[in-house]
Amino acid sequence: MSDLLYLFIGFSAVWIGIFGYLVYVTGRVRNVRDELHDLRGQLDAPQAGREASSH
Amino acid sequence: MSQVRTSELARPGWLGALRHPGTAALYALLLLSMGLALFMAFIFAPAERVQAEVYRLLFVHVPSAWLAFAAFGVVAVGSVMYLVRGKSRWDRLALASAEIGVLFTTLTLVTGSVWGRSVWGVWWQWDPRLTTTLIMWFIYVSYLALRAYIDDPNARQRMASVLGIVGVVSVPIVWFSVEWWRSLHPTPSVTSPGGGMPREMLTTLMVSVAAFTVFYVVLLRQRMQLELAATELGSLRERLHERNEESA
Repeated sequence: MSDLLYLFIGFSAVWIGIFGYLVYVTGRVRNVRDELHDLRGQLDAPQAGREASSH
Repeated sequence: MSQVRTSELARPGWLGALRHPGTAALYALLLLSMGLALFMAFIFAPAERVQAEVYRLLFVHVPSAWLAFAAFGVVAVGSVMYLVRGKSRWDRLALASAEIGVLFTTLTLVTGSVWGRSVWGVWWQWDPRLTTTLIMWFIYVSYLALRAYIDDPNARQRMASVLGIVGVVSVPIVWFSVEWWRSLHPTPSVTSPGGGMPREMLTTLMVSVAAFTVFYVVLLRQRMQLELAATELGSLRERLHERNEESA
């Protein structure tokens, strides 16, 4: 293999590693926030119903 | 009340998140510093006399190693602060930094291996620097595994903090390994007297280290946000579970 190929492999590994991790973490943040949104909706729904019926 | 909560949780997405001035500035700095580091690594820095072009791996290998050391230092600081103060945010900092430290140690080992194949003719040598770096990697992978294994949050945070403090001992061992034992790996050319690195190469290395440090801050911030959201998710699940049990 030529030196340039080693250079390419090394740089590619670093960029794929770092950006891959950033995309992975950002995706997980988004999923967790979506789930939080759903759960809060579930927790608030009956409360809202009770508040509406009391008016 | 529910409307306020909903708006707080509105998912910003990639572009939405950039509306926050601090985040936008950080990402702009990241792009600028990474662009400059790449330009300097491939255009500004001259070819090396013996290794020609492949030596340019230095500009990703050394910053990765530096970030790994710094990340494990932050793990130790976060762990000490958690044990002293007992605040979960310190534990979140330690966890986030440990994960990023493992990532950068992996990249250090991979780029070192590729470089070693080109210069030494082998992918791996049981050389003191390489071996101690691999041991350091195992220590922090164990740290993450320990956290995944213990269910009780308090016990998990306490035990992880102890390992986070003990584990940082591996950092100076890796650093001094090239001086303590006979090693194929070169000694640090930046800190050793008369290191002999030309000024263009040294400047490029400094810019690369700075750019990688910005990347570390971006990753750390994102990973801590994830941990905070995950903690909140856990407590909401518990509340929902309790309420379902009450109504049943």
